Amino acid sequence: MNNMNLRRPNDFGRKMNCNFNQNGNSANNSNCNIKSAPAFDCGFDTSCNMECGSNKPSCGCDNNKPPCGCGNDKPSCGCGNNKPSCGCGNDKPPCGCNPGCDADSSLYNDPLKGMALAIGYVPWQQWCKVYDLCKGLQQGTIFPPLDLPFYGCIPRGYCKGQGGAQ
Amino acid sequence: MNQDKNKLLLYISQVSFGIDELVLFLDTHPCDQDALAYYQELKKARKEALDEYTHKYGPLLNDNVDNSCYWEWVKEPWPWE
Amino acid sequence: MWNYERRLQYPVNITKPNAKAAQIIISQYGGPDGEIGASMRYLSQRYSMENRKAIGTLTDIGTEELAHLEMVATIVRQLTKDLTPEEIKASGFDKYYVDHTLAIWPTAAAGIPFNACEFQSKGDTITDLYEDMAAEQKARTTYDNILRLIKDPEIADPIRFLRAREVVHFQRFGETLRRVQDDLNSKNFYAFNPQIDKKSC
Repeated sequence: MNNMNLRRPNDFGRKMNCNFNQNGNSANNSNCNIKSAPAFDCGFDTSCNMECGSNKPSCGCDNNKPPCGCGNDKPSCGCGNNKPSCGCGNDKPPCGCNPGCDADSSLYNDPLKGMALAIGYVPWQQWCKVYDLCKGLQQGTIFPPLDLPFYGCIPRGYCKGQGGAQ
Repeated sequence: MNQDKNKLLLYISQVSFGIDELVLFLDTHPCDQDALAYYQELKKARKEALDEYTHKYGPLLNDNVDNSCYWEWVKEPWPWE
Repeated sequence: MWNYERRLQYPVNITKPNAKAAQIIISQYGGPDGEIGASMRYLSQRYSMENRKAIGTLTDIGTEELAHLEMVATIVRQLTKDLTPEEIKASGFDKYYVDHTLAIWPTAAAGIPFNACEFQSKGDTITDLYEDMAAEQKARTTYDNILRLIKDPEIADPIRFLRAREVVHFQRFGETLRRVQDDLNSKNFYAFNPQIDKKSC
């Protein structure tokens, strides 16, 4: 019973990060006039047609356009300080506000949208291919999606190869 | 001989654990045909293993103790010993 | 309603005494988030439950927790049975030993004895299921904490098994809550307590 298999955590039950259109395009708001988002944050420079750094495209940062450097997976409206609100559409966070308004949070793309509030929902487990009997007992479950081992370590690495977390 | 006994007991633990998992799953999924079918398979396997163990090494349940002149049930070591 | 089989749900074979480990692990016997609390909680809640499947889940998981209680007691027993008086004194285990010698008695690691204030059986279906889901998470966290401290694979192996069960139990209680939600009106799940209120007003 001491033969413990190292298993990488699997992705069962993990929420998918919402995928943003690469252009961060907001069809609802023409003020944003979004081009492909450059990869680097230009900081607070609002001059128009400024190079955002060597080898970077122009950001075009006047009042009606978004500041530069929003990153590929964020809406191009750019939520840095002192920027005007772009109004990126109903399903995206308002721009020009707190950088903590993270567009990737489940608030903006809720798979539970429409469910009754003020209560929680655990997803139904579906029948799946189960572990063989030996592995089932060893792992503590016959169901791979429920096999969620503990990998935590305290800083001095008590767990590394010495029992405890596997 | 002891090794065979331990191996069989381990197998009984494995198949019984499978049944434990299925019982909990079926309590919340009472209509799941795959689970119901697998439960029937394990039920059969467990009964065969239990019968073999009881025949070779003595009972695991106290409703099946041999009718001798001594209550054998208290003779064997308990699981925590 | 119980028979038993003469075997543990998962084998425990510890060969070396370790009083320090025993003092920590005993929290899963008699501590606030341990197996006595779990079994008493589920086995107590089931009597007034109106949802038949919930009664099944509570009875079956409550029974399994009794088996886990046995496993934890076995671990503590095997860790303490060969301790010398010097080891007892040096490890701090003497405080427990003076009142209980090498017997198993339900207490938390920090010394609070088990008591019914450590669980609730509230008599409201949704409330009780949330109590149960929280209990499984608390138990899992306690096992996580034990696994951070215990290096010996002989001890960590059954602890790891017990922890894995908590994750599965959480899923089952969550599914039971889904069943209960299906039977209630989603416009207002809290309009009444199905265990006592009549549906028609």
